Amino acid sequence: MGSSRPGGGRAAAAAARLRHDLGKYVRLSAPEELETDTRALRDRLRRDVLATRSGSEGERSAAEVFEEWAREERNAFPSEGRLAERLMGIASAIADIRGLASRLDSLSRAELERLDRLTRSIADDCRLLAVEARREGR
Amino acid sequence: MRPGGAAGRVLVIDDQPRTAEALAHLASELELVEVRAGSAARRHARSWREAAPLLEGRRALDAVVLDLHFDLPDEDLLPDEKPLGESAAARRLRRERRDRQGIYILERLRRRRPDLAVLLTTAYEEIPFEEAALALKADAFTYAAEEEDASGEGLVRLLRRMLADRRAPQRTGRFFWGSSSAMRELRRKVSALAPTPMPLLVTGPTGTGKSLLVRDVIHPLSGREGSFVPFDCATVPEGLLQAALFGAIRGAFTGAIADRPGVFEAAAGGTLFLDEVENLAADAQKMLLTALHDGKIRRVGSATETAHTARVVAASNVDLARRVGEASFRSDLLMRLNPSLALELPRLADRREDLAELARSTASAFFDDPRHRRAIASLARAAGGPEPDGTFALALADEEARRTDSPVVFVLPRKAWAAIERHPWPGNLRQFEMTLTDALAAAVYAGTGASLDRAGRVRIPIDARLLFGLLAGARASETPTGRLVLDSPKATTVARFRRELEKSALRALFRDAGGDFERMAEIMTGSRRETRAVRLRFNKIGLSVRGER
Repeated sequence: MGSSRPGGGRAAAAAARLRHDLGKYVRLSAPEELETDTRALRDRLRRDVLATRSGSEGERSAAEVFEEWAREERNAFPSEGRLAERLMGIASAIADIRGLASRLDSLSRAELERLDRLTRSIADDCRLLAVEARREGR
Repeated sequence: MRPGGAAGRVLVIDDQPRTAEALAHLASELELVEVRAGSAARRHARSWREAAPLLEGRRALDAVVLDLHFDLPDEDLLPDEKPLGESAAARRLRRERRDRQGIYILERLRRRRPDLAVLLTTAYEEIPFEEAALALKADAFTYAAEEEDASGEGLVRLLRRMLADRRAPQRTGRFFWGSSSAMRELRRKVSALAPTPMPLLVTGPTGTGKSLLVRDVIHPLSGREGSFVPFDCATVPEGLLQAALFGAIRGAFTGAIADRPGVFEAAAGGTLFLDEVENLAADAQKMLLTALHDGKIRRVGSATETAHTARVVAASNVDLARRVGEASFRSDLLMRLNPSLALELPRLADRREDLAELARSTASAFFDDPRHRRAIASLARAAGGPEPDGTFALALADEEARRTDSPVVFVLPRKAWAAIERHPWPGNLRQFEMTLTDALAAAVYAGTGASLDRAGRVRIPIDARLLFGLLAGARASETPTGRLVLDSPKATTVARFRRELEKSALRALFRDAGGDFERMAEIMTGSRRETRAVRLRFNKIGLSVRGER
C-alpha cells in the first residue's frame, strides 16, 4: 500500500490528522441546538474541551492536542498563504479557548456560549484546512 | 424495537472513549457492547485484538462504529501487531499504520462478518486513495469532507438510519434490493456514496432499475432539499440539448421568446439525473464537463456564468470506457463521473437467488392495487371461501401453498417456476415484473376461477401454459426481428397455400404479441373481444403454445 492521499502531500495528510484528532472531537458531544440548561452546556464543554482525547498520559485538552500536533506537523505547511492563515486562525482560537477553559467552572452563560462558538470555529477551520490542503495538493 | 427498548446492539471500535460516550449520552436506546479490561469495563474496543472476540459473541451485533485513526502501541497495530523499532523508516511506518488502522480493521472484520453494518467515523474523501475501494466495504461515513463537521447528534442520526436501513423491507420505494451478495454490496456502496456531493455514475443493462435507484434511493439518501429532476439525454434533439440542460435567454435562438431555465437550474439544491448520458453530443459533453468541473453553467445566449448547486447522477447502459476508446465520449467527462465508484446494477440472470423474493414482492405490489383486491375478493367469495381479510399470498409450488397462512393463495405450478428460474430474462427486472403481473392478472380476470382446498384456503391457479407463452414472448421480443414477417409458403394447391399463409401469419403474430392471445386479438381486430376465436383458430390450424415456445 502506498501512502499518498487524494491530492497527495504531507500537508494534506497532516491536515486530515488535525481534523480527525481535534476537529472531530472538539464538538463530538454537541447537540444540534445549544443547550438551554447552563449546567448541561458546561458539562458538555468540559468533555469536549478539557477531555478532548485520551492517551497513555491520561486525558488531553483541545489545546494540548493542537500543540502536540503542531510540534510534529507545523513545518509541513508554508509560512504564508491561505493554509498559513487558516492555521493562524486555529491557533488563535485555541489561545482563546485555553484562557476560558482554565476557569470553566466559574464562566458565565455568555462566556460559555462564546466557548461553544470557539469550538465550532475550530471544527470549521480544521475541516477547511483539510479541504484546502487536499485541493492544493500539498 | 428490541426487548428492553434497545434499537440496536452496537460495538464501538475506537482507541478513544469519546465516541462511545457520545453515543451513550445521545442515544440511550442503543446497547453498547462492554469490553472487559482487567477489573473495569469499557464501552469501546481499543484495537482489533479486543474487538475480534466480540464479533463472535453469543448475542448478535447490529452494527459496528469504527474509527479510522488509532494511536496505539506497535503491538496493537494491524497488520502484524509487532514492534517496529525507532528508525526513521519505522516511525514513518508507524504513522501510516495509525492513520489507516481503521481500514485494516475493516478488512479483517469483513472476512469474518461480511454482512454486518459498519459506520466508519471519517470522511470518505479523506481515506487514502489506494484504499478507497476497500473502504467502501463500510456502510456509511460520518461526514463528507466538503460538508460541515458532524456533531455527536449527526453521528447518532446516521447510525439510526443505518440500522433502520438494515431492517428495511426488500424495496425502497419501487426499487427492489433482494439479498444476493451483489445487491448487498451495492446497498453498502449506495449508503456510503449517496450522502456525498460527488457526481455518480450508475451502470447496468436496460431494465435493471437504474432510474428507480436514483429516484427512490440515492436522492432521498442524499439529504438534499431540492428536487429530483430526471433528464433523458436520448430524447431531446441535438439542437435543443444545450438549452434544455443549461437554459436559454430571450432571443438566443428562433423561438426563444422568454428567458428559460434548464434542468440544471430546476435541480438546484437537488439531484439532476442524466439518463443514457452516452447520447450527449460532443458540444453538450463539453458543457457538462465545465459544469461538473467549475460548478458553473451558462444559459445559451448569455455572456455570464452562474454557480449551480445540482448534484449530478448519470446513468448508462453501455460501456463508456469503450465509447471513450471509440472517441464518442470524452475521457475527462468520464473521469468526472467517478467511474471507479460506479454503482453497477447486475443483470437479473446474475442474481437468480433473488428471483423468489422478487416474485413475492411483485405479487405483493399487484395485491396492493385496490382494483385487483376487489376482483380477488370477488373470486374468493365465488369459490365459497371466507370473507377475505386482505391477506393474499403467492406460492411458488403446491407444497408451499399448503404451508401458507394466508386464506387466499395464488399457486404457480412447480414446472412454471422452474421455467422462470431458467429463463435468461434479457429485459431484466422490468421484464420479470411485467411477465408475472400479466400472469397474475390473467389468473384473476381470465383464469379458471378459484377453488377451496382441504384446509379451507382459496386457491387461485396461475395457468402454466399461459406463463410459458409469456416467457416465449419475452424471449422473442428481445430480438428486433420479432415483427410480423411472412415467408411465402410453398404449396401444391391454392387452398393449401392459403392455409399455410394463415398459419405463418398466426405464428408470427403469436411471437409478435409475446404469446398473449389477447394482444394477438388486439393486433388482428383492434379489440380483445375476439380473443377466444383467435385462440381456437390458432389451435385448429395446427399450432400449439408449447410448440411455438
